[in-house]
Amino acid sequence: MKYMSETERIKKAGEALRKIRENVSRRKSPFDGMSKDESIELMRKVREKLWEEKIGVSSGRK
Amino acid sequence: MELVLDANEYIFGFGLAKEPSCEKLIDVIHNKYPSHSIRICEIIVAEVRHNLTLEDFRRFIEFISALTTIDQSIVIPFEIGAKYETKGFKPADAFIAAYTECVGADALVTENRHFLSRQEDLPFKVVKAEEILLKL
Repeated sequence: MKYMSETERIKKAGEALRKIRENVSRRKSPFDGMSKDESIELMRKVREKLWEEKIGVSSGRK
Repeated sequence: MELVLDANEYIFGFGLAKEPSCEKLIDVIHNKYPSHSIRICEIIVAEVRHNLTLEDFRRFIEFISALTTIDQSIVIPFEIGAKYETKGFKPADAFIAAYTECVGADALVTENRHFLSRQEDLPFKVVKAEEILLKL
C-alpha cells in the first residue's frame, strides 16, 4: 500500500476534480435544458428512489 | 466551520448543470483545506454516483476521501429522523437533516428550496452556496 502525505492527497484531489469537470463537460448532462428548480426536482426524485431502495420499502408518501 | 454539502452542491459543482456558486464552493473547500471541514453520508454519495460514470465516481471518491471520511454506517436515532418528517421533510431529506444534526455540523449547504423553506427552529443553518461563500 502506498501512503501519501496530506499535501499529495489534496493535490491529487484537485487533479481528480479537474478531470471530473473535464469529462462532465464532454457528455450530455441529464439536466440539459432544465431550469435549476427542475434539475433539483429531478435530483429529489432520484434521492427518494435511492432511499426506498436503501431501506427496502416504499415511503408511501407523495 | 463544519458543513454538510447536499448532493446538489457536488452535482452542480462538477458542472452537470451550470451553477457557478456551487463550483466555487467546491473549489474554496478544496483550496482552503483544512480550514473548513465537510461531512458526507452514504445517501449523498449514492446520489452523486447516480450522476457520474464509474470512472468519474472513482475520482469523486478520491476527491472526497482527501477532504473527509465518508460516514457509511452512522446510526441516526429514530426520533431525530422522525422529528424532521413531522416538520414536513420527505424521508430521505429527513435523514439528511437528522444526519446534519447528529454530526453537529454548523450548516447544511443546499440549493433545494424544500430545505431552504423549512429552516425555522433547526439546530443548524440551511444555506445556499452563494450565501456560505460569503463566510468562508
